[in-house]
Amino acid sequence: MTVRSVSWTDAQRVSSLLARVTATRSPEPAALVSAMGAARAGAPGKAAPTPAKAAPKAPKEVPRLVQTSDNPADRLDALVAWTLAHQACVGAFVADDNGLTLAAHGISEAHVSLVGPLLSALVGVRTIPGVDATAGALWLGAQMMSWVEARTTRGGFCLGTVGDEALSTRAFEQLKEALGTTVRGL
Amino acid sequence: MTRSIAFASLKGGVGKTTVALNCAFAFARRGARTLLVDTDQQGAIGMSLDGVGDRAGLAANLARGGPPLEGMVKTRLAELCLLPMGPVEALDEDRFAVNAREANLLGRVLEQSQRDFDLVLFDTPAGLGGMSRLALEEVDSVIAVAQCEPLALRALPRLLELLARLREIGSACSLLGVVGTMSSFRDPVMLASLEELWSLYRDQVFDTAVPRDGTFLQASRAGVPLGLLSRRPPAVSAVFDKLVAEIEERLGTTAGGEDDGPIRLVD
Ligand SMILES: Nc1ncnc2c1ncn2[C@@H]1O[C@H](COP(=O)(O)OP(=O)(O)OP(=O)(O)O)[C@@H](O)[C@H]1O
Ligand SMILES: [Mg+2]
Repeated sequence: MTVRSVSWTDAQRVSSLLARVTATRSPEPAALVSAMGAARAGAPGKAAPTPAKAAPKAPKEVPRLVQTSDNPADRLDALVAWTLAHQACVGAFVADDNGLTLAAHGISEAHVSLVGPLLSALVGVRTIPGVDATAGALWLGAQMMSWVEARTTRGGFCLGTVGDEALSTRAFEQLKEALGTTVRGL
Repeated sequence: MTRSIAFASLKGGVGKTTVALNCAFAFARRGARTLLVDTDQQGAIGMSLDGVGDRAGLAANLARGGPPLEGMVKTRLAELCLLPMGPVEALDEDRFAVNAREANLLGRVLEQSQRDFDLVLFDTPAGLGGMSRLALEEVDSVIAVAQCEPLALRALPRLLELLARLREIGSACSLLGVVGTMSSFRDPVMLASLEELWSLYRDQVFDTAVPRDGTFLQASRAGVPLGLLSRRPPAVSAVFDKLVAEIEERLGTTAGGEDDGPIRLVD
């Protein structure tokens, strides 16, 4: 290089930094004034255990999920509520191996119908040696759907989130642990 | 939900305070209930505004362990409030940020702002430690302020580096964008700097850059935001209306809600 750039900065380094510090922007505008705190549309069907925040912040310190009930429905609801409260997502769901949604909040009808085909596609992926399909994520238009799986003697369960940004590796670990805690008692 | 933005830069004197103050004014004029918080021990917001300079604020709240928003200043605009830094006890300078962290000062400021404000803007000191670091940890969005000159550009990646690391350890802050300041198309180095800012940071750079303009010094001298320098605001103050519109778009928020067509003048 004959003439040095002004910034002495490597463009590739900037690109990779930008990828680490920017959030995907929500395409749907929300009102800054007056409509603050209005939750997004809820999930079809079942009412949520706790109201979803419009856009939960990635928390500083995520507390472990503690399950206090033996009732499966309560345990799943508690898992969904914990996920909404502590992970960067606008919706969360729990589904079984067959893609049947067992608990959900803040996800659309379309997302619910997607869970079944998605999980059956993953069955094929799981048979490939060396592939860990117990966690994954998929961009769907402007939103990202992420999921983790846990296997029990009663079959597999999947905990999924829908949000505007990708979950961190740490968030995946936390979701796996929370799902594990929940289904262990089922 | 109340949104929070920190204006930050490793390098000093790049225009953080100027941008934060004039954006706060422009946001409030658009109807967003805005709180501008000075996290700089220098007390730059107080120094910039006639009538605010000697008021107690954040520093006194920290020293006395009082409510975080005590000393909040209402302004001529009903939607704009200020929380100045106020005088810092000379011997506290050294441990200020450490004490503020222990007291969760900025976290509590945000908590207490949830009900009454749509937007909390933080003016931060130069540097990436101390109060700047605290603010970055608490906010949801960060606007990097980059003066259109070589040293500011060279320092910029380090702010991104910090943001990336903070996100890795669980902070919610993301980069909302980079704003170029003190730009001039007449000076070849400044022009090259702005061009390089665009080419490196691409769509992260706000389309609106703040031009270098003598009016800013006049506003500092008078101790007012640009928009109040005279009854008919100087032309350059319109820059902040444009910048704020871009910021809103990136936040995914629009003041006053979605556009739903014409509004009748007479009911
Ligand atoms: N667009 C501009 N045109 C001309 N002068 C400007 C402009 N923006 C800021 N200034 C002047 O540059 C100086 C530094 O600006 P400012 O105090 O806003 O920077 P800062 O980044 O907040 O500094 P610090 O690091 O000390 O907090 C001030 O004298 C200010 O009046
Ligand atoms: Mg300043």
